[in-house]
Amino acid sequence: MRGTTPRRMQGMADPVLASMVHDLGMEEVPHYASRTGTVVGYTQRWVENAKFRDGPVNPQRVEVTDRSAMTARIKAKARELGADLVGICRLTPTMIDLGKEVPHEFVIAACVTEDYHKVLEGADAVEEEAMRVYAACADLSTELAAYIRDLGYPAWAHHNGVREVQAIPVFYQVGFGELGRHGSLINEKYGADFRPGMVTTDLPLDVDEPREFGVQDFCMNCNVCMQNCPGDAIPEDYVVTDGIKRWLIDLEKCYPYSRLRDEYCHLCVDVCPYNVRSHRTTFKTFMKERKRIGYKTPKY
Amino acid sequence: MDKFYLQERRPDGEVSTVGLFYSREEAEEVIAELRELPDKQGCEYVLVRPPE
Ligand code: B12
Ligand code: SF4
Ligand code: SF4
Repeated sequence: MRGTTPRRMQGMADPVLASMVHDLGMEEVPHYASRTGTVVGYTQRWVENAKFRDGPVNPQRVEVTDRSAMTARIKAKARELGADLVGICRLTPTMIDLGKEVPHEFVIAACVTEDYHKVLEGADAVEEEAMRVYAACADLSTELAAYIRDLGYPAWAHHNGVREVQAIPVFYQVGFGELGRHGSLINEKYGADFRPGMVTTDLPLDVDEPREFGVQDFCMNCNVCMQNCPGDAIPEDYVVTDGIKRWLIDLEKCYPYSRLRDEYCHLCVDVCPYNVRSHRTTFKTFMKERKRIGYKTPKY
Repeated sequence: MDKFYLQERRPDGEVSTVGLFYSREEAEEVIAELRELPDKQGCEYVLVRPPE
């Protein structure tokens, strides 16, 4: 199956970011150049995992006579490997990068959540936590794909080191939640504080369904991410893609804060009130601090 | 920086926004790739400037 959704490349491979970096008289993305040893260690983990995203498929296939039992087994395995959220859907061209081929029927999203309490320790702690979780997702998806190949079915891992699958359309279709104004997908329990590990496969599985629980209606009146985004990158208006409402952030305004400074920016996700249900005290303390320093801080 | 929404107008009349692009050149590259896809043969692509 060939993909239809354009992907924006990361770092200097994105012409928009590259031109902004060059305008500053630089050759490297400032944020990446300032990464700590711990963060670099995590990035090496997903690069290493990429070598094992595919492998030999066991010729002695386990026949699937009971799909729901096999689905339960795969979800249990993903949880055993460290996933906090697991969902399955049929793969569609919208979920695949434009022009890329993925020869499988299903996609399993196996996501790991971030420790929200890091918001009280500052941007570096939030970034290290994000990178720890990306590395955990790479380990998890690589092991889950190998487990499925052992059952006799083809399977590829998709994570930061190697991927053709777009996370958000998959998160939506497997029922993790709804797209928020900040452009990330919101789950009622975890907010948008989770990162993607994915496996595509031909193993026959039962699929989950999209779930809506009022996020987009809430976003219409909330606007807290918009009011806290230091770059004013989050828009008032939405567009519609495949019948689904989404707000497209303005990269030219986001990059000065998320890529052109040493510090990481994850504020739009951290200030979202969907964090309050699981982290009431931390959320309140964090928002009090934001009020004290000024909501849109840091500002150039 | 120039900005354009890329809209896909489908044969059944549905309009779906592909994304926001930051130069005509960037958007045209995506349109060229989409036009190669058998599923997209009946679609038209239109660039729309966001409101100021
Ligand atoms: C490129 C990228 C970026 C780029 C550009 C993002 C953008 N919105 O254009 C930059 C570097 C700016 C970025 C920033 C951030 N990102 Co980012 N990003 C990605 C990445 C790697 C690819 C997405 C992509 O190519 N977009 C390309 C542009 C052209 O497409 P877009 O239309 O704007 O993006 C959309 C499509 O991916 C998708 N989409 C496209 N077609 C369709 C159709 C349907 C029907 C649906 C439902 C969705 C959908 O929805 C996206 C958002 O609206 C994904 C990982 C992945 N595997 O998908 C993470 C990802 C989307 N990012 C994520 C996060 C957390 C962030 C940040 C908060 C953190 C950070 N500092 O990096 C910020 C927040 C910015 C923001 N408010 O959006 C998470 C979201 C987690 C979640 N729960 O949803 C993801 C899934 C992975 C991750 N980093 O964990 N990101
Ligand atoms: S902060 Fe408010 S407007 Fe923004 S995504 Fe969260 S709920 Fe929606
Ligand atoms: S990452 Fe920062 S600058 Fe970018 S949209 Fe979110 S809050 Fe705004």
